[in-house]
Amino acid sequence: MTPLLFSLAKRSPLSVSPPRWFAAHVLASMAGFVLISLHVAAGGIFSTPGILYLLLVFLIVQGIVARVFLSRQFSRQFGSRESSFTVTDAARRELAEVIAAKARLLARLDPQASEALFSPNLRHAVSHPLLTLRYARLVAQESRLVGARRRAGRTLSMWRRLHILAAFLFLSGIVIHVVTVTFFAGYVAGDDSIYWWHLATWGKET
Amino acid sequence: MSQICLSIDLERCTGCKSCEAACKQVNGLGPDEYRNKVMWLGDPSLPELDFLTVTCQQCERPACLRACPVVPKALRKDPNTGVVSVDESLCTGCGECVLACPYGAMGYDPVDNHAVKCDLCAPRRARGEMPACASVCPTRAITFGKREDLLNLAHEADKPVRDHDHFLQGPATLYLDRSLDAGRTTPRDPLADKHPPAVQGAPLSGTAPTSKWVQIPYRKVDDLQPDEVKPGGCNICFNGCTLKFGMKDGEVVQILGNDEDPVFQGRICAKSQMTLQLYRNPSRLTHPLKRRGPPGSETFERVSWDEALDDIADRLKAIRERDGSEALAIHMGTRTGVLNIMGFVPMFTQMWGTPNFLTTEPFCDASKVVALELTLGSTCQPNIYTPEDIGSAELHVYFGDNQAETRPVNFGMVNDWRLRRGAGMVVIDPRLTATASKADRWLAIRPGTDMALALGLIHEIFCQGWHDLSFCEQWVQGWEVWRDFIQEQGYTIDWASDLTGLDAALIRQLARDIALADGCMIFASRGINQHSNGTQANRTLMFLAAITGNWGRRGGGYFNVASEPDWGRVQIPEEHRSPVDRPALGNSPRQWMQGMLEGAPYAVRGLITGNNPAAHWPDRQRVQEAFRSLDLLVHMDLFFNETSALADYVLPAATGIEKGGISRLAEDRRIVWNDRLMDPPGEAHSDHWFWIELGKRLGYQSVLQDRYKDPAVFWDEVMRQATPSLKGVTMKRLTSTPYRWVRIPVADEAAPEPDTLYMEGTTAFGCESGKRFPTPSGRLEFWTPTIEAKFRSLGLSSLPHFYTEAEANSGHPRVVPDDRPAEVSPFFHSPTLADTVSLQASTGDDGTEWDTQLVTGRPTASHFHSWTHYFWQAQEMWPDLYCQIHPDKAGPRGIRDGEPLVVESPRGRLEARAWVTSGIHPDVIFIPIGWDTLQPFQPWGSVNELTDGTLDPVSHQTNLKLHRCRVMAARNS
Repeated sequence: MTPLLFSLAKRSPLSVSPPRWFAAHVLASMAGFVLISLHVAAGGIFSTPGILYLLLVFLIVQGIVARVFLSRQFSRQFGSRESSFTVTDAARRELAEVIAAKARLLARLDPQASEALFSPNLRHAVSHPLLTLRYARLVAQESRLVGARRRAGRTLSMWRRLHILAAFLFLSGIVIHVVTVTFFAGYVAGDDSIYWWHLATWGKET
Repeated sequence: MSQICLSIDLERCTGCKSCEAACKQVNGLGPDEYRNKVMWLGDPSLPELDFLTVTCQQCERPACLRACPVVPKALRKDPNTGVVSVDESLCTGCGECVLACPYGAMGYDPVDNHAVKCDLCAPRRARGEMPACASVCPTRAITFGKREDLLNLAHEADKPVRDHDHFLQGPATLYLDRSLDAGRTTPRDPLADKHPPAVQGAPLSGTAPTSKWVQIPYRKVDDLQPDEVKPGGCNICFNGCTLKFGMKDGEVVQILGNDEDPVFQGRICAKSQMTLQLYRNPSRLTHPLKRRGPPGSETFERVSWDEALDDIADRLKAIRERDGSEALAIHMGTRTGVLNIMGFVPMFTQMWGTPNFLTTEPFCDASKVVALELTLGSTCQPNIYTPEDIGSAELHVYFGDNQAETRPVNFGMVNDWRLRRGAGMVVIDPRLTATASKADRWLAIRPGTDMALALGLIHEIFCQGWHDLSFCEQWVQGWEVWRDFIQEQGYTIDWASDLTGLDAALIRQLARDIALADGCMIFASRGINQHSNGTQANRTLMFLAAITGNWGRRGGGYFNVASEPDWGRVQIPEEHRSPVDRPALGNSPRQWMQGMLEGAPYAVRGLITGNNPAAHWPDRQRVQEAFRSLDLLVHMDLFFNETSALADYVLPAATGIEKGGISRLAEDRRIVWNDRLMDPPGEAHSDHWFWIELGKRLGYQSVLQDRYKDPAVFWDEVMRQATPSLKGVTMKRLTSTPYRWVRIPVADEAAPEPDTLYMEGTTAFGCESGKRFPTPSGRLEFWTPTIEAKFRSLGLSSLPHFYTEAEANSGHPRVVPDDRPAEVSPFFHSPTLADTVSLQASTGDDGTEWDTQLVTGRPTASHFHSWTHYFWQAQEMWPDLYCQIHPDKAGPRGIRDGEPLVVESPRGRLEARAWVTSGIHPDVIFIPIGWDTLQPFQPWGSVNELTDGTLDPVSHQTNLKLHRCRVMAARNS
């Protein structure tokens, strides 16, 4: 749960030190990986829950690769966009429209905020989910028009999104897994007998 | 809110990267960690070069800030100043801000994984100081202040402010474009479709700097402030920039410009600052080493100084016993310092009895020295870098002088003054250098033909009657003889145009501009000096300046790097002087090779040297062969290099503020003093210490006294006493100013520092009254019977016969040595052998085997010879050995930008990375000096694998600017 808490904490004002949460998410993930590996050792990797394990392996490997190898690529983004300084009026009109739309929407989403400095966080997502979603779409539209992310290359621009997506899938899978083994032990066991570790058997003789 | 920001003038920026160096040291950044970065931009199809300093734009709508997913955000915008800063304690290193910044101006720490960005040096601003980049900028391209004020200044200066708000982020940083020419309303964007050359990016291979290289103050964020600040000077180049060394616990932790210096006002280049990476560099030699294996085997063992010095002394005595005292040669470069090369070594050589002592002068400017001594009677050049003198010129013409990259601070001042005054600038160079990129006109001359251009200009000026007749008649000895000779020879504009490859109309325009300008500064440097016609080319350019009245006036003159005092010989008591029975083998180490390899005219069996001659003398293979043949090779230096590998003893040297003294002379007659501020690493010692200790073992201790190990004592008691123009430069006077320099000549401590020299109505220093110039006649001397006789003794004439390198293959004359035995030259201060020569026609260009002309020279401003290659940041700026090549030459050979290519000459073969650019003459390639195969990060071969180094018969200056070669893609070789 620590990675989830990290993700939520850094998007809310509750976190005093997001880097510590980051470290906690790394440590917890590694510990979780060890425990889950032990857990998985009892079963088969080429099974439905085995997909979760592969997702976990992917998350761990991707996280390490990003921290160890992509860091330098991030730093080398500095000074890589010289064409941004040359004269072009390419998308100014469209951008202006998006910015104006953002400002209009922001007046409803967070009237005190300045569009120039604002991006929605967990509080906005909880209190105004639809407005937040619409705002996020405008942000994405602006980002596409600016094109900075695209120019960084697919690896850099996509790794984090992929990481979040994989983590979301993993977490969802875990929830499903827990619910299934807890409440549908017979289904999980299939043709096999229900072992002691199925919660449904606790307190009963196996 | 009152937005503060930087204003970056693209017309002034020369791409020196001083701002990058300042940023990293002040903000404790490490490799690959940027808050600013200077990009060189070009389009291979266009002869243009531009520079762009990328830094945070302090946007009104910062995309980085909005992209930050953390709450509260790790990035914040100051409501009062508009500065966007990052709170590293909140940053998780997700990199979203880096991806979001459309300007590529968001940095990232790849070690600690967090965002890094420019906050306009918030801690410095809190102390009332300006951002470090603006404080050091040599060209004043970067200025800092309130945006509104900076905008007003730009408008007042009629500078167009670049509109780069394409993303509607509201960038605050101002970029000022080149002023619009009259009538041009819609100029093409000079930065459009331009990109950095591949060689400026990541290296092809090599070693990345590890933590052992990246020491304080880099990658250290806490407590960077020094405890005390000491004034001094940079010990790298002739710019002689004044510095403030920030010291903490006995270590230097900060090097910035001295803002109290009335001339430089804090300007410095990147090199000065990167000497922070010198003093505790892990590659420094720290103990004496003795070779155990064969030369070149790199098998050494550590020995004590006593053991090394005792054995060196014994082996020197054996050499003297067998081959005579002249069999010892000594070569000491300017790295070792003025006190060493002008004081300690000359004293040692007088006691030992060898005439074979040379500095780097034969490779740098011997031809200029001889030309100045003949013409002016002094190496003290008249002009100085002040707004009233050089800054008041109406025209600046650079012949073979890439001042922007070799002396960035001086060029920065010149360009600043000339832009303020609207003065012109013309650069004559086969390459579109950083200097040329700033000029109004770049004339891409063929290498080795500058003298022809000067002759054509002179011919035209006389033909048009544009010469300053009054000045000629009063102050130029022999001008009619030169005028008549040039006219008789038919050195016309068209003749010059054929040879130089320059358009005749452009030459004609240049002649007019030079002649009619109210003050023309003619700058020359290695592009003129480093040729076998170096002396005559220098004299011809001096004549051009003379006939246009540009001598001894403010804002007009001939200036060739660097101005030096007329050194007197440091005297030793007669009873300690050893007789020298044989003249010096020549005024170039190239003439030592025959002595080493063949024992002719007499044997050289021992060499004591600094620097890196095994890689950086021409004809490298022969040099290495010669070094292997020696009975004793002692190498004293900072780092283990190719010369060390061949040495019998490798001795660790101290440098700069580790030893104190006068390391370099500033090029406009300023003597810059350094105190000794810190201990050298390990057992390293100053070169001074070495000569004194070696002297003790040879019985010289009563002359080379122990107390002279204190450079202040040696300067006051010995050095300044030997040279009349330095007598007034006392230690008291040197240390009495907050900027630690005194301008010469000064006869005594109370004498005022002189301004421009040789002004009308003045008497030259040390001359009898009325002698405006320090020649025998008191006039500038171009033709006198005495001068003519000197040239005749070598088989030449003092008149400006045009000749050039044989490698020009132009069909024009070249110098060919006669068969007669060498005789003592009349051009040097002590007996020195010189070949007699004759001029013979060279062959024409057959256009086949060796179809390309190779020019060598200094690389970009962040490098200086070998030693900057041990600085991780200099390597980060320019890592690989490169070869500039024109697309017309590269294309047919399948050579692509950034890929390896191979260059072959009759002497050898070399690999480098291609830099395809139209900013070079199509027949020419350029490869810089300084790389060496033993350097720690990106080792490459030395360009001297390809050079031969034919000598100027007069000065023995070595040709390093024109060699024949051929070039091919590495994959095809």
